[in-house]
Amino acid sequence: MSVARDRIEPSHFCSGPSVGHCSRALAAGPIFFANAATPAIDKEKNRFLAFDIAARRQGQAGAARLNPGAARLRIRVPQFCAHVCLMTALLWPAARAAAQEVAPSAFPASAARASDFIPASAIAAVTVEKGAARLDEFRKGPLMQKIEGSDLYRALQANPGFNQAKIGMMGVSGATGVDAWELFGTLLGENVTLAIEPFDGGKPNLWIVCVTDRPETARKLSETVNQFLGLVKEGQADPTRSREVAGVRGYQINHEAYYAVFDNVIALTNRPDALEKSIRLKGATTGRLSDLEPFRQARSRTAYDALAWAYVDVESLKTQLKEKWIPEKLPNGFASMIFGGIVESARQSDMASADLVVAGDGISVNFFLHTKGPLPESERAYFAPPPPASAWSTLTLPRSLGEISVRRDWYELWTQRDKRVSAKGLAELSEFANNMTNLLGSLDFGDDFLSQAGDELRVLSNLQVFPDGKAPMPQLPAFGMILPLENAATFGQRLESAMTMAFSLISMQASQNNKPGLLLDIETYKGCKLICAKYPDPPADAAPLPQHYNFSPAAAVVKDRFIVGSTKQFLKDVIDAAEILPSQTQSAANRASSYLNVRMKELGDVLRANLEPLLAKKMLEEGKTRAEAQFEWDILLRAVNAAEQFVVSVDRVSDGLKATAKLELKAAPRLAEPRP
Amino acid sequence: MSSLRPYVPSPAAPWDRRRAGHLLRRAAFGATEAEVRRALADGPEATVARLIGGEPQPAAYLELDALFDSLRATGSVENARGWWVLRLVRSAHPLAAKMTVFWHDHFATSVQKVDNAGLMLKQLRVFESHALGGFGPLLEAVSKDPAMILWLDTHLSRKGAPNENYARELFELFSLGVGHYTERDIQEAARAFTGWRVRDGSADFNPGIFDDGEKTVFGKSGRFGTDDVVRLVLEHEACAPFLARKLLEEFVHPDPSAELVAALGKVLREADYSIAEALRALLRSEAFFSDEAYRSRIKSPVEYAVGAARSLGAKLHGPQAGAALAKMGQKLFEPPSVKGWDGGRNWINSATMLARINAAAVLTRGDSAGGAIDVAGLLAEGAIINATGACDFAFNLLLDGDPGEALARAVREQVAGQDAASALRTSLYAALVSPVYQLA
Repeated sequence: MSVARDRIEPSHFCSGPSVGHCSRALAAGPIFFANAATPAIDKEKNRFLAFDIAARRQGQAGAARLNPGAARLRIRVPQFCAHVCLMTALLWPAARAAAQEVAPSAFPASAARASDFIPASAIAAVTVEKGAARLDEFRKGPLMQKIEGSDLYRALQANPGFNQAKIGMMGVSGATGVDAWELFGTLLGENVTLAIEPFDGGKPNLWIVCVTDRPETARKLSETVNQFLGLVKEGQADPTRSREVAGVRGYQINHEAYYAVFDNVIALTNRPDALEKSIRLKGATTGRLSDLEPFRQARSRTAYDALAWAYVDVESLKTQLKEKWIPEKLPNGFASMIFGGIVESARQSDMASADLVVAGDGISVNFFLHTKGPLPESERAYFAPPPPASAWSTLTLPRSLGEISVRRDWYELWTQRDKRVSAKGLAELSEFANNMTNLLGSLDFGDDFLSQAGDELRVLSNLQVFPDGKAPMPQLPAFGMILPLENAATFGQRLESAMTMAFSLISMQASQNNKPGLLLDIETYKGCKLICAKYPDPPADAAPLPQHYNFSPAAAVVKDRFIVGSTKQFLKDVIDAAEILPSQTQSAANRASSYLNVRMKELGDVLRANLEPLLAKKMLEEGKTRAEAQFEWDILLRAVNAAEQFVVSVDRVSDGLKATAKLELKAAPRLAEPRP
Repeated sequence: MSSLRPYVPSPAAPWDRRRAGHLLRRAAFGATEAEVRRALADGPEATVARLIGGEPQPAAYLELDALFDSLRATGSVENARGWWVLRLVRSAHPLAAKMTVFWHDHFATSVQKVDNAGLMLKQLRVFESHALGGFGPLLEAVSKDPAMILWLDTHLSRKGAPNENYARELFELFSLGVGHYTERDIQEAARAFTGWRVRDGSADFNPGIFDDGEKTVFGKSGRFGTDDVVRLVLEHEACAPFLARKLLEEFVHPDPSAELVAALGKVLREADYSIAEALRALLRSEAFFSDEAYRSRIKSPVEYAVGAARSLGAKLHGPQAGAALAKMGQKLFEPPSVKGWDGGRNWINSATMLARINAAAVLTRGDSAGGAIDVAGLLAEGAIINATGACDFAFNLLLDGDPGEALARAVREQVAGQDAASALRTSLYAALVSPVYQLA
């Protein structure tokens, strides 16, 4: 290899024990040749990578050779990266300039897709779309500026770990001679797919295939890797660690990584035969993952502007998992009642897909489980039809933290439970029902209570307001359940007496265990009778109050709803909100059969109110100082503060099950143009 | 065994690393290399004075200490345990810290029955505030401590139906010992302890259920209450020797001579049961520095782990450290019975020794969540540049420079050819698991 001092290629990267070493070497016109032909993870202390470093001075241009007596150095990876970066920044400006000559836009986008180079036998794949373009837009866009100007970013910059990672990234780009953004853009490309194929002999085959829009950078990257790892020596591919297939040379990085670059494709796999399969699919029109109809269906279901999407061949997955696949009867009775519909849909599914959409208003993940036929009649109880439009659905509490809503035909599920739940789960449910029956006095939990319960069970939560100096620690939000009643007028009275009995029993049991007992009371609020219980007033000098002062349980029947809450104020908030319902004119939107909503501002308020115990936990468990713990919580709270709310909904559609999780951001610019 | 006469360094009994290490081990769990050097430079008298008086607490300790209210309110016993261990490690007043563990063992109260971590922490505060103070005020405070009230059923005791548990343990285990009281004394004293309840985490005296009639305890009669019985206990001639024996067993020898017990009992009585004065006399005594006392006790798990962490400046994960102590046989806040831990030879068996070995591995491995030592810092502190230096440093720091020929040879052979950092880890580990290090 001939190297001129005034023209240094990025591939002639430098590494070594010190900047001084390298400076001297450069001054004399040599290269400081780092051969990492045998990088290996030290299994004892896997933070370290061992490299055989051979330092060789060359007086003039000439071939660099391996020094057989190379000194063995142990290098910590982050420090190594930082070291390479510093040297590159100081000594290799030419290399950086050379990398910038590769203009990303110079190469036309390819019509080929990464899934064209993955065999149809793959059972799962994740594809990132237009990663390079999105990265470019992100880098140059207002969001990046916003991030760099944000308090969060400034806070992160004070963190040594963040800076170490940043320096490490710079080091990697220095070693390859390619700007880090350019490097990531090349690897993300037009589209990149990660796929998995079961392998009878043990670990599955894995692929990461990228169709890049920057083949020239990919080639340079490949050359650098080959040079760095000793896969090419003196211009010749090492025949022991490379092989040519269909005119394409594949290389072995280590015993679990093989790669090839051909045309505008970068393929990385964990087995040589898997790499060969990819290469042989070049120019093929059948046998590719992209030729599979379910795969195409999955793609057609993804949002047009999805950043990433995934496909799973559930049929094949079932075959692979055999008896580990979901059992017919679930072992957990409660999970069966709540999540049985989702589980049953998964059992019937033949294909699953998901997509990730990052847009200006938030980040959402959509899941879809395709089922072969309609939902069996026996499973309809999991997806009870929406109730008639009711103003209750619009009920919103002040200081609302969020809610969970599940719509089921509870009584039907209860009476048919032996068909869905294992013997162990049935025993759990029976024990629970017995306890509830005891608490409810004369009411049988199944036959009396559930038979009168409507379908839509909502659990709402809102923040409590504590008087100054009288806050318990931790400060928990209030929460409560709202359940429609079939026959509120008559059944409501029985429930009221049952709740009086329940609070009495709870109080008695607490007293028997040396726990504070409850004082029972009945209060009328806006015409509603509240069955209340509260703990005796704390001593005047008690601060902070013990955590049981978060609770003053209460129950009431309000209109046609049974409400039981962790505090009396929660019930009053519900009654206040219900009072204005009739004046609301908008029709109530139907919720999904399962729905979760968390409001981030209130979540942040809860965390802030409990910062002291949260700091204590970090200080005790991680040995951090108060300032360090505070810093980490600040970052989390700022992240929470950036979001508006988190919503999850799950519902049955005609051909399957659809679920969406969305994190709504307060305000963020769009990250990418919509896909045409 | 020697007497309580003050130890004076001499050519026959010089103030050397062995004696300085012994003092710091017994009275401060253990010490860093810098602390050993400082003790060697200051001499025994100044070192004992510093141990008794303590030094200003560092910020790291004060930050942890400020978590008390939050821990008490949130009520996690695992976190409470971890919090205590971390403070034992970071305290600049290690003798007082050690005495809190001593009092916890002496007035053994378990969260198993109390079922309230907040009350256990409150009791710990009682031990901390009276750690080196007078035994009388401590006994009074413990008698009215909510955790103790629940633990020994004082809250069930009322006029007409006194519960004898507390009175019995007060006499037998806390102050006099068997043979110095009668059943009648217990029954009468139990009446004096009626009236107490626990309300909202505090002791609450209800005169309505207090037996205010006349009682006769130790031959003295009166309408006694809680404080009166405590006063009668302190006036009892068996009290001072009882406490003196326990202090001597903890600090000097597991089987102290009768003369020594009597001598320290006299000191206690003359100093109005001041624990600080008793310890001052004890820690400066010839008996304390005698050959019979040296390495004569088996370290408790707390002494072992906290001592190692203090000596090595290790960073601990509090709750995990608490759990590790439990595996070694000392679950803080959960002594096995009202008698406390049996201690002595019972600390060591195949299971607990394995736990000590594991703890040593976690401490010296350096990359575990359970604890980590700063090897670079130790290398700098000891100016260690090679394997030999690493061995010497570990033996000096943890074994008073006297590892014994067999251990020294084995470790030196093991670390030969290792770099200084690896050799230091190996040497520290070998020292921590050696038989000698298990002895205080």
